[in-house]
Amino acid sequence: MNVDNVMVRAVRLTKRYAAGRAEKVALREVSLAIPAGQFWVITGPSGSGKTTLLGLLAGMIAPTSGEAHLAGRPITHLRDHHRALVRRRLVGMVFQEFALVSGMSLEENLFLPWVPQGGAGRAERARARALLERFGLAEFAPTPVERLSAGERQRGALIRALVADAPILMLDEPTAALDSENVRTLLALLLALRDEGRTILATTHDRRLAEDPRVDGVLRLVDGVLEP
Amino acid sequence: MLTNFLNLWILARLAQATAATVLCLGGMALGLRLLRRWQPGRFSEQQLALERQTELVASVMQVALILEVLGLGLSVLVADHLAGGIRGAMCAFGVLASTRAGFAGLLVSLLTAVVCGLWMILHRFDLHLETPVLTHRKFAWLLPVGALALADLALTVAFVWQLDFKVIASCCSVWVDAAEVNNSPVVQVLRPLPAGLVGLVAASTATVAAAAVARRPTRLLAGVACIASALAPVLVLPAILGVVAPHALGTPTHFCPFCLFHRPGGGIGWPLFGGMLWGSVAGMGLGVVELNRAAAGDEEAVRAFEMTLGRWSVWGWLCALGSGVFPVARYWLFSGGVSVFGKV
Repeated sequence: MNVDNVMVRAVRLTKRYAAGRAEKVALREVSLAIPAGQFWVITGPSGSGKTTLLGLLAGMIAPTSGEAHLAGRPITHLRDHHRALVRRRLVGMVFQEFALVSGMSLEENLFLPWVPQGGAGRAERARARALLERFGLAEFAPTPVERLSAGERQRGALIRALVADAPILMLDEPTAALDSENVRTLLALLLALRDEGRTILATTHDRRLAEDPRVDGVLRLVDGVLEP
Repeated sequence: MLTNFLNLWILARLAQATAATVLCLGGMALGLRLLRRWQPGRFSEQQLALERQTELVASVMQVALILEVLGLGLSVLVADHLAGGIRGAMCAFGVLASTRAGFAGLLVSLLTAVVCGLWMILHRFDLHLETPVLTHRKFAWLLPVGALALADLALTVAFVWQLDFKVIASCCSVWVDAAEVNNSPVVQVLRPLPAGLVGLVAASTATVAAAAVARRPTRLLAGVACIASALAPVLVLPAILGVVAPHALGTPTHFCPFCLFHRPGGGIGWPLFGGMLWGSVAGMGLGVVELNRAAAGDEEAVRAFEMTLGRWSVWGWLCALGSGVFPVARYWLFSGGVSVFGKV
């Protein structure tokens, strides 16, 4: 594989957690390379280390050893502040429980990532409006998120991840709370985003997503080790 | 003497010096380990753990070094407070002069405070960079810092041990009188007009150079500001002794810098010397940044940090300048254009 074309790369990533006096190995020397503009899925049973791997690749968790690269840039040695800046620029993240804040409207939730910078700019607001229209949520912009259905919240979380126009989209168990109809809608959206040039990496143990023939690659993680 | 160690002020100074030294020695220990095991660019478990450890230890070191800088002020404060217990000592001068370790200890405290300040600047600069490229150097520099902290603690203990509350000490005026009688070169240096002018020019040059760096940092300006900030305290000191102190204390022959910390001197010693230390260390910090420019490899970070340092230096020097000019201006104003030395 041409290294220049790789958007997300892991080299012997290992993560160990302290569990009391014992130590739990969440990931063991995981290496992978996701080419730009492709849609890859990481599958595996619960507790296999999928979320940890996604967190390491996104630079949200520091590895015990090994290195992660985003868009060809190593992020492991970066200081927390600089890693956060790189992540904000390169990665849009959709969390398992959507991580939308109850009591706030969908629109307010979309701009939460910009709070540390003093609020979203004109470009982000315009992009958010366009994405709300595209994903059929324009009318729900002022609605408190707890009043939205699971599918609407999922799409809301997806819009929030896309407002920054990051080239990489990472999703943690995106279909966990969705019925079949919403899974189809989400998959269609993700494939459309892939076709526009975004690199997409999703963890799931949902076979509807993992076995879809339009997905470019599937990685299987078992007990913190990538199966060949 | 052992009973000296029971004085609360002395205990406070010893506690500060001990805490700072223990923390510094801990930092030194990590520094030594780091110098042996640091492998830049490697992603091994040992290297990544070391990187995380250095971030944590550096944060703790910041506290230790702030304690060391505060130790300098505490040294003066303790000596000043003890003056009440030693006959003949009117201020910290008499107390420090009554022991062999007094002034040597103060000098080492000052040197430690300056070196600690410069280390903190290197640390802040390192934190500005994306990756810990200066961490190895930073921890190597902890070795002399730790040695100085240890020397500071040792001299503080020696000073306390040598303190004798039964001795009759000399006050600052005795030293000045003796210098006057012997026509000592010290008195020649303190001639008001040249000393004042040299001091004013030196402090102004340091301020202007730092302001220029704060506006548009270049290698040349940073170098000039660094040298000006390093030289200015030496050139300003005669002005403080020869012009500021007599005006602040209202006596033409009262040159004692320690009396400026007292109420009759308006307590201007604190902003005056504090501002000088701040401005000078920040200015010299520009030299530290320049020395590490190539290793940092991030021109934008260097530029932004030098602008910040330049601003800090300006504020420090302005504080010192204001505190120095204020008593002279006030004297002139209230006496109708007459200086403490007579009509000019």
